[in-house]
Amino acid sequence: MNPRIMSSSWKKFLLVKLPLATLVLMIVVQMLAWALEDTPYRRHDLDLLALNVEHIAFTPSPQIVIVGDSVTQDILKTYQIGDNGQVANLTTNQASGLIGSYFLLNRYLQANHAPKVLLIASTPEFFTYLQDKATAEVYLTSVFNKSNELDILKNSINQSSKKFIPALYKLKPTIGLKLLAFFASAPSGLLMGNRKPNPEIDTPKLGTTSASLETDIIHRGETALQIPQQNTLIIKRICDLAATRGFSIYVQNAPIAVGTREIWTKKNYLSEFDSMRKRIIGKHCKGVLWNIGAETPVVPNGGMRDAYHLARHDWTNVYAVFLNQLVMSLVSP
Amino acid sequence: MLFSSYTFIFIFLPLVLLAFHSVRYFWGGQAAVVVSVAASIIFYGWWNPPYLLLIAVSITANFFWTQALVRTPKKLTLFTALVFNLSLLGYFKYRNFFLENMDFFWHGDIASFGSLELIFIPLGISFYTFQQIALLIDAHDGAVDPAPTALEYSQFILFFPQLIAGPIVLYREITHQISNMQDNRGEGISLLGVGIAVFVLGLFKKVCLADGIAPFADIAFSTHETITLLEAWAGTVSYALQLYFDFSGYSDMALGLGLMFGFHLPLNFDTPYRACNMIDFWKRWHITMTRFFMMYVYSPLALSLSRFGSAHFNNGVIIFIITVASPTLATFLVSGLWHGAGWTFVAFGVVNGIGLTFNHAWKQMKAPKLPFVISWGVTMLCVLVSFVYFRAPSIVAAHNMLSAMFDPSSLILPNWLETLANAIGLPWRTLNMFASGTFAIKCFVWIFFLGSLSLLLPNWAKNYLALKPSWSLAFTITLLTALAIGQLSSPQTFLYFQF
Repeated sequence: MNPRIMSSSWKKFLLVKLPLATLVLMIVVQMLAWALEDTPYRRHDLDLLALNVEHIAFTPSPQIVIVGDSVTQDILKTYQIGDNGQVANLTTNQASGLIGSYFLLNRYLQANHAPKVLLIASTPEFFTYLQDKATAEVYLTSVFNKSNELDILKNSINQSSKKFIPALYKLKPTIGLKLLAFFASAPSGLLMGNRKPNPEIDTPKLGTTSASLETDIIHRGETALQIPQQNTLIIKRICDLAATRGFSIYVQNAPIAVGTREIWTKKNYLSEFDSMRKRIIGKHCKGVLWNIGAETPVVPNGGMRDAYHLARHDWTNVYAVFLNQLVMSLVSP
Repeated sequence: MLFSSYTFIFIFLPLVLLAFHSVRYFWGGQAAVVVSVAASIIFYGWWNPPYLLLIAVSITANFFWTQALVRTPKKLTLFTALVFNLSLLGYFKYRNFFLENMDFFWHGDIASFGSLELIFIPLGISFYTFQQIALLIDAHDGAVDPAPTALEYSQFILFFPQLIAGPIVLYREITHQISNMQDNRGEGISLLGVGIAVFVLGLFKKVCLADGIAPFADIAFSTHETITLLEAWAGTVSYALQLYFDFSGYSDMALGLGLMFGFHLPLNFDTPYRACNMIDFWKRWHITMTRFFMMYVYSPLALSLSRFGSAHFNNGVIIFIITVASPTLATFLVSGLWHGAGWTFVAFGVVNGIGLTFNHAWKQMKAPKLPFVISWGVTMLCVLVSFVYFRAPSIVAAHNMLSAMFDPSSLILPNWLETLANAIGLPWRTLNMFASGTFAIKCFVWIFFLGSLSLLLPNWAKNYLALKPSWSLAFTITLLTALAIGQLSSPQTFLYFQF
C-alpha cells in the first residue's frame, strides 16, 4: 500500500461503490416500505385487537364490554369471565391508555350493538397516565391511524414531529415488523381465557417477595394520582359515546398491593383521585347511568409478581372470581 | 460524546477527519498531529470539562518524569512517578471503597476515616494512567529512545480513539507511527476505507447486538433474589454476549477510527469465545490489558518468585505454587481491582486466577488433552462464573445468581409451561424474567443468534488489511450502517467506560 495516498481501488470504493450501494439500497428499501405501508403491524396484542375489533360482529352481542389495563387483561386472557359470549374483552395496557380504549370501543361499536354496560376495570394509573412520544408512537399513532383517530391523537398526546427519514434508516419499523405482519396468519376472535375462576380457593399462598419488589411497590405508592386534562377529555368522549349509544358505565379499581395502598391512603392520593374521577365522570356523564365500584380485594405485597401485576394463578384467581361476580351482577336484570 | 452518537458520527468525526487530512495535505504531518491532539482535547472535555484539568496535570507530570527517566534512569524518579500515578488512580477510583472497608472492619463511624463523598471517576483514568505507567517503566528500562516530544507524548496519550476505553497502547507500538506521520511518511489517508469498514462493524456490534441482548441480562440481575435456574443461566449467558459485543464493538470502532487517521492500534479481541482453555481465553479477551498485566505485573513478580522458589525449594508442587500460582493469582487480583473498586471485581479476578492456575497445572502435569467440547465447556463455565461477579451489583447478588445456576431445586418452570411441568413432575410458578413465553423465546433466539455470531463472525479487526474494496463490502457496510443508525436513538452506554 502506498503511504499517504489511497489506492485507486479504495478510492473507487469510497467515491463510487459505497455511495452507489447506499443509493441502490435506499431505493429498494423505500419501494418495499411503500409497498408494505398499508400492512398493519402485528407487534403486540394491541395491534391484533385493533385489527380484529372492527371486523368481528358478535351474535348475540355481548352484554358487557370490558376495557382496562394489563392487570385486568392478565385475567381476561387466562380466565373465562361471565358466561360464554357475555363479555367482549377490549382490555389493553397502560401504555395504550384510556385513549386507546376509547378508539377500540369506537371501532367495536361500528360492527356491534352497544353493550348494556361498559366496565372500565383498571389500576388508577390507567386514568392518570399520559404517554410520552416514544410510547405514543408504538401504542397509539402506529396502531390507531385512521384519520378521525389521528385527529383526536393530535390534540391529546405528545407526538414526535413527523420528519421524512429514509426507510433504510428505520429498517425495523418500516420493513422488519411489516414483513413479519405480512406473513403472519390472519387474526381471529378476541382474546378470552378458558380457565374457570375458582371461588373455593379463598386463601391463596403468598408468593416470594424480594427487596426489589418491595422497593417498586413503595415507589409506586410515592407517585401522585392526577388525572391530566387530556384524559378528562377522553372520559368526556366515552360519556358522549355512552349517551349516544345508550350504555351505562361502571368503573372498578383493580387490586393494588397493600404497600402501595397504605402510602396512597396516608398521603390522601387515593381519596383525592377517587373524588377527582367521580367529579369528572359526574360532570361529563350527565344522562348516562354510571357507577364506581367498591374496594377490590386487598393484596399482600407477596401476592404481586411486580408492583402492578398479581402473581399467577392464585392471586389472579382472586381477582378473576371478583370480576366474574361483578359481571354477573351487572348483567342480572 | 459516545462513538455511537449522532453528534460523533455526523458532526465531530467528519469535521475532524476533514481538518486532519486537509491540514496534513497542505501543512504537513506535524500540523495534522496538532489537529488530532486538539480534537482529542475537545472530545475528552465534551463530557465534563473539569476532567481536562486532571488529565492535563497527569500528562504534564508524567511527560517530565519520562524525559528525566530517559536521560537518567533513576529508581527514585520511577518510584515517585509510580506513586503519583497510583495515588491519583487510588484517590479517584478506590477512595470510597477503601473508606467503606475500613468502616466495616473497624465497626467504626465512617466519619473517623473521612467522609464518603460521591466521587465521579474521571473517564478513562485507568486507561491513560496505565499507558503512562508502562511508558515510565519502559523509559526506566532504557526501552524509550529518543524521549518523546511534548506533541508526540500528547498524541500518544490523548489520541481520542483509544483515550476513553483503550486499547491500552504501548509507546513502542505507536512512536514510529507518530514520527512517520510527522515526517509525512505515515499511512495518511490510505486506510480511510478500511477504517470505515472496521468502525461500522464495531458500531453494529455495539448498538444492534450488545444493546439488543442487554435487557435480558438486566432483568436477570435485577431479579437475582427470586431468580430460578433457567433464568439465571439465560441471564448470565446474555450478559456474557452483551459484554463481548459491547466491548469488542467499542474496540473495533477505536481501531477503525485509528485507521481513518492513519494509525494502527493494537487488536483487543480475537474471537475469545472460541477459546478452549483459560490461557487461550485471556490471549483473546481484552488482549492489550492482559498484555499490560503480563509485562508489568506478572513477569517481574514471576521472575523474582522463580529465583526465590528455585533457591529455596525442591518440591515441584511448592515451586509451582510459588512461581506460577502466586503470580497468576496476584496478577488477576490486581486486574480485578483495576476493573472496579468492589469486592465483586476482586472475586472476578480470583475466579479467573484460579481458572488459569488450574490450566497451568494441567499443562505442567502433562495431563491428557481433553476433547474439545469438554475443554471448551469447562473454559466457558469458568468465564461465565467470573462474569456473574463482574456484572452482579454485590457479592450477595452474585451468590444468588450462582446458587440458582447450580442448585437443581431452582429448576422451576414458568407458569405458562404449567402443563409440561405437571407432566414431568417439576414445580412451576410465575417467574420474573420469563413471565411470558414471548419474552423467553426472544431471549433464547437472541442467545442462539449472538452465540453463533460470537463463534462464527469473521474478525475484520484482526485481518483488516485483507479487506477488499468489493461491491459486497460496500453493500454490507451500507446495510450495517443503516441497521446501526436505526438504533442510535435508543438509550445506550459502553460497559467499559466505567473502568
